[in-house]
Amino acid sequence: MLVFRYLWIALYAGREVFAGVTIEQTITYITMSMVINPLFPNSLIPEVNARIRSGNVLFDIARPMHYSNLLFFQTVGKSLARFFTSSLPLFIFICLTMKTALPTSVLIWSAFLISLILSFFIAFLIDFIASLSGFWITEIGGIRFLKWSMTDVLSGAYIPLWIFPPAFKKVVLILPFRAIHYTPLSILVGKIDVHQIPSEFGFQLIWIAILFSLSSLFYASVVKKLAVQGG
Amino acid sequence: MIITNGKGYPVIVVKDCYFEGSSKNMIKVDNLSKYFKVSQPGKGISDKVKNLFIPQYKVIKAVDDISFHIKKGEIIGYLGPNGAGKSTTIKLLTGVLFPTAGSIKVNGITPYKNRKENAYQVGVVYGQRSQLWWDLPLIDSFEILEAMYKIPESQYKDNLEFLIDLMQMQDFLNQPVRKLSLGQRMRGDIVASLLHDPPILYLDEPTIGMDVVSKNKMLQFIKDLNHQKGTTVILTTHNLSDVEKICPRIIIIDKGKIILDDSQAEILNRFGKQRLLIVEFENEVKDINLSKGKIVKKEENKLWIQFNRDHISSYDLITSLRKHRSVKEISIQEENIESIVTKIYERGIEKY
Repeated sequence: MLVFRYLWIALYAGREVFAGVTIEQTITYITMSMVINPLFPNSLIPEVNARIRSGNVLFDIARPMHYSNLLFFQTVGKSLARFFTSSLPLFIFICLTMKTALPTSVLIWSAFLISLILSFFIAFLIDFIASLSGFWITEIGGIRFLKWSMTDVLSGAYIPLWIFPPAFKKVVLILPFRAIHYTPLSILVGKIDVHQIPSEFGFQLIWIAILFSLSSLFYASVVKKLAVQGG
Repeated sequence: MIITNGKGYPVIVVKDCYFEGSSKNMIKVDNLSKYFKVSQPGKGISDKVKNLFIPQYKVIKAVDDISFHIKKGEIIGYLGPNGAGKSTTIKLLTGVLFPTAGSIKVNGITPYKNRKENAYQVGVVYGQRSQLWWDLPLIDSFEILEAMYKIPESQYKDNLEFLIDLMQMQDFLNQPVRKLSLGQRMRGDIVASLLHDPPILYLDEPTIGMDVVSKNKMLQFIKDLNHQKGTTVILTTHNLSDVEKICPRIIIIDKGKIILDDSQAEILNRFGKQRLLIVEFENEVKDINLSKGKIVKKEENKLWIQFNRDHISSYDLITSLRKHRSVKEISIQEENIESIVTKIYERGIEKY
């Protein structure tokens, strides 16, 4: 985290403001990104793949609950554990040692938290859809790498989206990935104006609906083709 | 003179009473088929690269047009050599696999269409897999299942108490599953599959790798469960003595087709006509002439005689032997399900 912090200080090269955003906002964005990063699911692809390869997925899909729900609650459990072991200590460390541009308004904080919960759903659904490809192809290394690089760049986890070139930014802003990191963090650092918050929620909700329908369709088609490995 | 069946047991065996199936069909399978496409990459680099663009497939008929009906409360021994299609049938019955053709009804539900509803009414145990959570204590896995299957608290407690008692597993309830022995884990898996009181239980090689004592306990448990709750059971196994002990009806599948579906008694009656008579005389036997029966082995004053039950009764055979010589001991070996099924596996049903 400190590496990223100093990297960004160096990138600003003494300037106070870049692309309409102050250095403090950017630093806060980057450090808080590290805080919320452990909360998002990103290991479903190898996990689901392991179940498929061992054949034990036959238990999962014959349960009286949908496979996506089963995975969802497993993921929530893991994220809660990581909240207490990673996010919270890191957040306390930041508050104690660094000068940040964290807001004091309760409104902003609650908007951030709501948006964060919505991003969790989006991150989960993207990960779930990607993991379903394991039903088609047994070797998932490529898919995993593709998914990780795409979310890392396009979600704005490491690079705030406002520094991208305008044309590229336009595309990225309509994709669902940016709703994972960029939306809640921009709300938090004030890059997204208070008036725009409801429409940001709307953006997240629409993508949740789209991704949810996609995942259901994908799941239904994939399960029909299922061949259980090993006896 | 003692008459035994060759294993030291008396010839007259009181057969166990089984839970008589009611007339209701619990499982109806009609003209069911499941084909798999298997890629055939060919030999050599050129064929393999070609296969990337134009894949060649070979169709494997894992289950090929099978039909059977199972009544409520029956225990079925579902047998077949490796790769015959046993596990595929179980997976079709649980709804994990979609059939290529045909229909399945399990207690009125089509499993692959209504997986969720079907899950509430069946319990499944796979001997080579575990449905338990590897890192959690056994009891925690049970609690997850309680929540997942929405089992009412009182029913859960009763069932758990009943099952834990029957399976004698108080000692390792709080141990993580990864630390359990195979037999303990297997018992855990069986309990896990029965917590929601399913009227149907599928057991796919449940006794695999178990020692004799644990295995017998497991079989006794299945029998008790069937008696007390009327659970319909399908048991697949390679251990034919398991089937002999608890399954009144046997279905044999080979190369995806059902080749035999009958009661144990009927199978014994139909196929088990060969008997082996072992006679020990007081003195050494020299020349002996038998019109019906074949001497297969001879040792000083002992004879092994094979005969067909339809041609001569054992009584007549013994009487003819006693005419001239004094007989010390006699035992008769009947063919059992194990030897019959082994022959069917080896030779195929037609040659019988």
